[in-house]
Amino acid sequence: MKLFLLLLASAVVPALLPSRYLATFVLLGLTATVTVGVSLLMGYAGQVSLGQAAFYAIGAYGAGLLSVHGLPPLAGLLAAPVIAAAAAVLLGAPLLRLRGHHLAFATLAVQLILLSLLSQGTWAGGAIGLQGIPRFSVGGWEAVSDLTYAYLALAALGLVLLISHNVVRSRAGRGLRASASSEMAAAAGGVPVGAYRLAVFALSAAFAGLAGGVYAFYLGYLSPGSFPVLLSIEFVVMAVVGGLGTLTGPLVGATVIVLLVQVLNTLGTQPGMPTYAPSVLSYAVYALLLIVAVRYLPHGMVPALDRLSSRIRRPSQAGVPAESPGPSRGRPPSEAASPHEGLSSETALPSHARPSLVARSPFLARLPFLARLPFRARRSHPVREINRRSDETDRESRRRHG
Amino acid sequence: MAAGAALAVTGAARAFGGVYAVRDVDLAVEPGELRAVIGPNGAGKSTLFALIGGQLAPDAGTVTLDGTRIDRLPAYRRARLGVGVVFQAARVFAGMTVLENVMVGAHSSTRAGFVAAAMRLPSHHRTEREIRTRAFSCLERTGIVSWASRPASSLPLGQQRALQLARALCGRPRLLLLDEPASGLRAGERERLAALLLDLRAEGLTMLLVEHDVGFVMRLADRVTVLDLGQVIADGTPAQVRADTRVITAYLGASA
Ligand SMILES: Nc1ncnc2c1ncn2[C@@H]1O[C@H](COP(=O)(O)OP(=O)(O)OP(=O)(O)O)[C@@H](O)[C@H]1O
Ligand SMILES: [Mg+2]
Repeated sequence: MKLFLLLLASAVVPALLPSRYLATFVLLGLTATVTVGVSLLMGYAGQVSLGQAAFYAIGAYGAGLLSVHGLPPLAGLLAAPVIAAAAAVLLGAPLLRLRGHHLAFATLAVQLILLSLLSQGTWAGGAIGLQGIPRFSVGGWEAVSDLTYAYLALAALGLVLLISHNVVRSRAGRGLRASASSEMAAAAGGVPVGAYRLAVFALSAAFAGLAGGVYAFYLGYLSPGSFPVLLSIEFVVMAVVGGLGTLTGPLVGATVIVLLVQVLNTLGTQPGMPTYAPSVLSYAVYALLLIVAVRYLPHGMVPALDRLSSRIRRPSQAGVPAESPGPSRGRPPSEAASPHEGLSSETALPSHARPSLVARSPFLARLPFLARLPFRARRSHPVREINRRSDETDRESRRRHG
Repeated sequence: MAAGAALAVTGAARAFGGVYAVRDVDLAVEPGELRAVIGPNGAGKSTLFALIGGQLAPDAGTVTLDGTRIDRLPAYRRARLGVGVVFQAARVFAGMTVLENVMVGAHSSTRAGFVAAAMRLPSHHRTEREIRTRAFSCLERTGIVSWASRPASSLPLGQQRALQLARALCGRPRLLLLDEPASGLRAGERERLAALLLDLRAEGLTMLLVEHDVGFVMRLADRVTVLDLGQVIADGTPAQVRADTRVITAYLGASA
């Protein structure tokens, strides 16, 4: 509900914006589109992609190359998400069986490989870039103005949100959320955990590919430099700052960061500032925001705001949200996704141990190389999990009956 | 409820670090039978269940369900073939409501995937309706329907166990593995569970039940298999097992 109000509100924004801000708006819409996918992947499949910009690039180059070679732009735009998803399936199929950071590093590697391929391949225009991509058109109608592209970006975002919303609230979405909480119990209920994770990965890549397609027609020109690794990091930061496992989260995260970076850019390019100021400032923003989010808003902005507003509305129940009876609508959806593998109730930390930063932040917990650090509970063996007594009562009944 | 399946385990073995937790176990369970598996702590009961349910792969041996070999299948495929599991440690999906938890259990016997959901195809709506109806009826059977919209992790232990059972039933199993479903339950809750198990047996569901309360087991089970140190030391009707001297020394005697 909140989500669709937000989207509706943003639909009037481009019409009111001074035209010099429209470019930023288009960029924001496309960035948010990609981030929705990253948030879905991280929040619901418990996987991190450090190379999501690669799928953005694949979509962009896919659409660009197809239309440069004479295909109608509409065909190019439709092909963009399909090509990106296909790439994700090829990459993810062997990787998602493994767990942990394999996907994160593999996606990062794929992006680096892709970037070097693109800058070397003459078929893609090399380092200079792919030129002469036509404007987006359907039949006789051609999208020329920035305003049209702003709405095109919004349409992509709306579509992606609708799909995410539908998927999350479905049999498949429940299966995903369940496997984030207990993979073993989900599989015992018939959930094909690996296949579902792969599907979410492909879906997130398709979102990025779609955004890339719009981007290609909007700019009319593509170069490898438009898809740096930093962009991939940016998507992750946006998803985390906004709040994983929510749909509003990526919108808020993307908006906050895109605007902040714009402001800092303006600041950095003021006369008297050194030339490296803009890039240093934007790096600093990512780093700072990530640290602040992880430290103070471990579930991201949207769930934090949700909690705050429900505390204001129902002060009597604020202290015990988990115990409060009645429908769970008021609870932040991220709660659904946050207790994931390594830190779920399955591998409870010893009660005396103060939960570490890694344990408190679903994002950090999702970067399993941090698990090598001594302060995190180890994933236990399946049978150990089977055997672990759920509580004292168990032992008591054993003493009585055993 | 679909008719129960026949289960056959032959020569099943599983070791941990060179020590057998289950060794040369043969088990033949008839369709519709309620078979109890008892044995002291560490006897290998849960390990045996994990070999049947697919949480662990056996080192040796076979598991067949109605004549189909399932021992190499992943757990979710076994669930689709009708193996339902209630784990020893109540494991509910935190962050989901009780109803949603139970609806997950229906996965094994429903279709409708990502595409149907994303596009809200008619098949999605049909499946959702069916799953919801089924989940409610399972919640009712296990007596926790009034908790349906509660967050699952807020339930007391007894209700969490009932929730696990409801979730397993929602998948319409043909073989149900129950690993100490009664532990931690109060007397009244135990009685209700016993009545439900008898109902399920009357419907023809095949069940394997691990339980430490020997009285509870002897009252319900058609046959009893006794495990000790990973091996079957006795197998028979409750009366036969009760009279078995090996059982008395290995297990029953210990607590008497
Ligand atoms: N992951 C594991 N690693 C090492 N040993 C294990 C593992 N899981 C089980 N074992 C050992 O295997 C043996 C059988 O364990 P299992 O849990 O199957 O017994 P059980 O009969 O279910 O006991 P309980 O009544 O306590 O539940 C035990 O000695 C146990 O310590
Ligand atoms: Mg056990």
